[in-house]
Amino acid sequence: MNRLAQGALLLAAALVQVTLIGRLDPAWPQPNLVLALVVARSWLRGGAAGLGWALIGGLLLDLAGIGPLGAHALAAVSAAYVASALSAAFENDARPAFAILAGVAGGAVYGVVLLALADSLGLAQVSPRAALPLVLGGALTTACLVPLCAAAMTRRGGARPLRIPSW
Amino acid sequence: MRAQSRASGWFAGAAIALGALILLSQLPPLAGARGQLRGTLAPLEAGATALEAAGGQALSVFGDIAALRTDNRRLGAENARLRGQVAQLQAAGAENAQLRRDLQFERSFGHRMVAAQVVGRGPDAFSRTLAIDRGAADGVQPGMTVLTGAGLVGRVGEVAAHSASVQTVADPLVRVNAYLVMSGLEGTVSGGGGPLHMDVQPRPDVAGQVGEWALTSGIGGGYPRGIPVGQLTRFDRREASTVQYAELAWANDLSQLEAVLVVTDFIPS
Repeated sequence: MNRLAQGALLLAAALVQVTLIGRLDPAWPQPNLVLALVVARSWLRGGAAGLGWALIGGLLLDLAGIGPLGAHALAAVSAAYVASALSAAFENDARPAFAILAGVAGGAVYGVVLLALADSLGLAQVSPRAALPLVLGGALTTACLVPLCAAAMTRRGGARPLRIPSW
Repeated sequence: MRAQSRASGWFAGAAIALGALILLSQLPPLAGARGQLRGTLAPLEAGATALEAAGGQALSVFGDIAALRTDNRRLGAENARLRGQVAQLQAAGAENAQLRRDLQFERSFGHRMVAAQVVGRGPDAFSRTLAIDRGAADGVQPGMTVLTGAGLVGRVGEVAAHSASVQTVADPLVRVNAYLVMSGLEGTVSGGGGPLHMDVQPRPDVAGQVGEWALTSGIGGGYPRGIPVGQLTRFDRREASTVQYAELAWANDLSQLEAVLVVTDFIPS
């Protein structure tokens, strides 16, 4: 996939995120399609590939949201780093269970970074009672989406390399 | 080892650059530029929303889905309006019975408003926001209150010429000072995962009643007084606690919001 197509994919994912997925009942965990793509990319192709997607996808989410620019991008970059580090730690084991684990870790890190940023910038202090379901919900939905995204990417871009650089 | 070191270097570089961007974008002089930059995505969001609506219509050819959905929306809107009226009646009754004096506060729906269409929604559960198709050119300013006939939606965050972002009550970073109309208890409502949370300041021998409404108290000057926020669904009474906890069902349904009203003649203090 060339860079233009990658950018178009992330833009389309961000638009789906802020239209269709944004309509879901707020009482339920809201999946983050862009984050799932970033984590799947990092898990499949390593940190360097994931970092680019995290920066672009995160900045697109920043443009759709509110508050400081770069917050979602920083959270996505952190999630990409964790996913690629996990991939390297498990010696690039392609089993779906590890993709789910990468999704859990990436989703949790993404949420923690966003909440920590809001706290440290003085925007708001979210109580543990409110923060826990947000972080757990994010981890759960990302874990569900990452294997699907990874399978679609593998199908589109060929088999996963046996050895990928961590970055 | 070298790869790991390079990994840390890339990550640190990206984190520092993004940290600088975050701090820069928070500077008050750049708030306008930030709003304008965000406005660039609004036309795309509006297009995607229109596409989504068109897609929904096309699919409904296969059945009576569209008719049912329209009925459902109409009934939902009517239900929301009636719930809002009940809240206002509860508030009026409680005030008349308990106070019988002129509080001289502005009635929330006596304000001047601008109608706006919802063209986008927040990117994740950590940003329960809306994008609307009205902006500075329509008189919309940051901080203005946003509501529907059912109750409070939130407040305007950032504004571009023809679009604006709205931070809703369901956003985990939002705080709204509110009071319960029957018990008179006051507290702060915040969003997050699931229902709205309310930290209630306790009063001896007074407990919130499930079903009573929480309205904006006007304390702090962030919102006009008397706008329905949500209906009490749970109240945890703890004798020794300095703050009591309650849960509210939000007066609005974020997934169903198609249009909102921006109060243009109330500027928060």
